[in-house]
Amino acid sequence: MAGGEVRGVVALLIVLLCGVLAACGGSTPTAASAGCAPADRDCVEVGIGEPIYLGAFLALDYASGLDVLASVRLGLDYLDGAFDQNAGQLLGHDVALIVEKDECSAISGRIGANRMLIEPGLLAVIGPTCSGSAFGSADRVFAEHNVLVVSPSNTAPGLTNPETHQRTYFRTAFNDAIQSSVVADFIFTRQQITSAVTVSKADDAYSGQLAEMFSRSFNALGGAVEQSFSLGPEDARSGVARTLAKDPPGAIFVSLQTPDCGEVVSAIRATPALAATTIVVAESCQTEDFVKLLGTRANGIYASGPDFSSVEKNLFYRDWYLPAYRQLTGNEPEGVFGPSGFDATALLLDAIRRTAVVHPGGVLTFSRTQLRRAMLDVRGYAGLSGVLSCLPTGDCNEGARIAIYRAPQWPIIKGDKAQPVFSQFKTLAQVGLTN
Amino acid sequence: MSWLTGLGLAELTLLCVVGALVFAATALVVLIVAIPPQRREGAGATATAYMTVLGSLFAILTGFLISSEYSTLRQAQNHVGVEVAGASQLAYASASLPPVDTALVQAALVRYLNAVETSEWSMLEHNPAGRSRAADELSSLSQLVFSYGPRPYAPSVTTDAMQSSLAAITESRRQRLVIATQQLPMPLFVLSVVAGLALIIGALIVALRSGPRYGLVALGIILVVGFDLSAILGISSPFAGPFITSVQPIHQLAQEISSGGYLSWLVGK
Repeated sequence: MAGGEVRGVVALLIVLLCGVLAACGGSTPTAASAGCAPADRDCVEVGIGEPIYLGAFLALDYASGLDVLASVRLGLDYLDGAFDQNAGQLLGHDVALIVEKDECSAISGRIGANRMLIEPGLLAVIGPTCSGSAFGSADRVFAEHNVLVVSPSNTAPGLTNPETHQRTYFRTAFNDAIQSSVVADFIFTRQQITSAVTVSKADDAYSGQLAEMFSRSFNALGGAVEQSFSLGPEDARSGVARTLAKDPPGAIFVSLQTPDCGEVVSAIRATPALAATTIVVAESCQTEDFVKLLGTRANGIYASGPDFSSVEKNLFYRDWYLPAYRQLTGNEPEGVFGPSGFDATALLLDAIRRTAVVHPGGVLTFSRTQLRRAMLDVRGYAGLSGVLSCLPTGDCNEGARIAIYRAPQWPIIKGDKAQPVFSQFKTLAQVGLTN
Repeated sequence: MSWLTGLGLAELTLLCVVGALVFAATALVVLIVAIPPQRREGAGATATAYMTVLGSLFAILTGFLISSEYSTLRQAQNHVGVEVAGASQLAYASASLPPVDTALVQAALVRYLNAVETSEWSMLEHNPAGRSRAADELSSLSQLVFSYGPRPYAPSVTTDAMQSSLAAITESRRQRLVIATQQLPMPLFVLSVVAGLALIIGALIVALRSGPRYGLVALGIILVVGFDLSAILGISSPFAGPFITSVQPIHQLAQEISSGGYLSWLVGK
C-alpha cells in the first residue's frame, strides 16, 4: 500500500467521523416539583377524587351575608368560565363549600371558626361577615391553625391594625378608617356642622371602632364630638334621643347595625327637638328592615357606604355578573359587599392555583404558608370592588370611594339609580394609615 | 423499525458497532478463504481503487441522511418554539381580560401545556398516530378562548389576539404531530448500509494485502461505519431515541404561567 493510499484512507476516516460528530446533540426533558411533607401541619393534601374545602362564614340573617354567599357561589360557578349554575373544577378537583352561619358576635366567631376547623382539609375561609365575630375571635382561631381568611365585609380598622392584626387575616372590604374620614369630611366640610355625637354598640368591634375613627377624623378637622353613646344590650334605644333632646347636637353619626340602628334613629326622628339635627348612619344601617321601620320618616337621613357608581361602570359586573346574580337568587343585590365577595373568592382561587403542587395522578398538596404569601403578592388586582393590593396588615382594598346618600335616594331603595350627595375617594395613606 | 430508532444512545451505538464488527469478522474469514495469498496483491489494488468511490458514496449517503434527519429534528424543535411563543402570546393577551378571566385562561393553558409534556410526548414516542390528553385540553382551551368573542365586556382586540395565538398553537401542534409520524427513508438507509458494508469489505481486502499494520485502519473504518449508522438511526425519530425534540421550553413556560409570571397583579413575577 502506497503512502498516498494510506493518506487517502485516513482522510476518508476523517470525513466519516465528521458525519458522526454532526449527529451529536439533543437534550432530555427534566421535571422537578417539590411539595410540603405530608406529615407537616402546614401541609394540606387533596387526594384523588377529593374536593378542595373552602369555608364561607357568613351572616345568613343579613342581606350582606346572603349577598356574599351568592357572590361566592358565583365565583365557584365561574370556575368553568361560564355562569351556568354548574360549579366548575379547580385543578381537576371539585370545590366543596362549608357554609357556617355568622351570628355577629365574638363568641359566635370563636364557635363558628372551631366548627369549621373540624374539617382538617379546610384550606381557606371567606368571611366572617361581621367585624365583631372576626376581631380577636374568629381571626385568632383561624390564625392559630394557619388557615387563610379573606373577609369581603369586615370593615373595622382594628382587624388590620398592625398591633391587633392576625397574620392569616385579609379583607377585600374597605377599611372604616376611610368611611369615617369621608363621613367626617361630609359633616364638617360639606354641611359645615362643627358639633356631633356618635352612637355605637358596646362590645362590638365594627360599631365601636367606626365611631372612634369618626371622632378622631372629626376632631382632626376642627369639629368637636361632644358625646359618644355606647349602647349595651340593656340600654333603652330611646335613651339617646331623650338625652340629646336637652342639648341637640349639629349631627349624629350612628354606627349601629339592624335592628338597633332603626330603633335608635326612629326614636330620634320622633323627638321634635332633634328635627333639625343631621343624621348620618353607617352602611350597616342601609337595610330593608330600617327602611320599613321608618317609612317616610327615613327621608332626609344620610347613609354612608361604598360608592357603587364606579362598580356599575364595570362591564363585567354590569353585563355578566349581575344577570348571573339575578338568575341565581331571583333578586337584585341587597347588600353592598357582593363585589367584594366575588373578589375575595377570585383572589383565593388564584392563590390556590399558584401554590398548588400537582403530583402524578392529580393529588394536590398545599402549603398554608405559601398560600398566605401568594395573597401578599397581589398588587393591583382590578377586581369588581376596586383595585386590590394585599398588604402585610391584611388590607387588600388600599383605597375606596365612599358616598353619602340622602334617603330616599339610597341604593337599597333606588338601586343603581341612587345618586349620592357626596362622594370621595380616599386611600389608607390619606387617612393616616400607611400600613 | 421504530423499536430500533427508539433505543438509547448506548444500546444503539453498541448494536451498530458490534454488528459492523461481527460482519467484518465474518467477511474476513470468508475473504481469507476466498482470496489465496498470491492473489491478494491484485485484489488489494482493485479494492484500493474502489475504496474512494465506496467511501464517498457512504459519506454522501450518511451525510445526506444525517443532515436530513437533523433538519427534521430542528423543524420539530422550531414548531415547539412557535407553539410556546403562541402560548406565551395567549397568556399575555389574556391579561387584558378581567382578572378572573385571565386566571381561567391561563389555568386552561397550563393544563394544556402540562398535558403536552406528560402525555403527548410519550404518545409521540410510542404511538404517534394516537390521541393524547393534550388534544382534549386543547379542545377545552379553544372552547374557553372562543367563548370570549361574543362577550360584551371583552375587548375585540384582546379576543382577536387570543384567537390568533390559539391558531398558532393549534397549527404548530398539528405540524409537530405530522413530523412525529414521518419515518426514515428506508431505500436510502438500505443503500447506506450496503455502501458501508462494501467499504468494510474493501478495507479488509486492503488490510489483507498490506499486512496487520494496516489492520488498524480497517478497524477504524469498521467503527466509523458502525457509528455513522447508529447516528442515522439515533437521529431519525424526533420524539424517540437518543436525539429528541426537547420538551423543556413547554415545561418552562408552564412553570412560569402557573407561578403567576403572566399575571399583571403579582409583584416580583
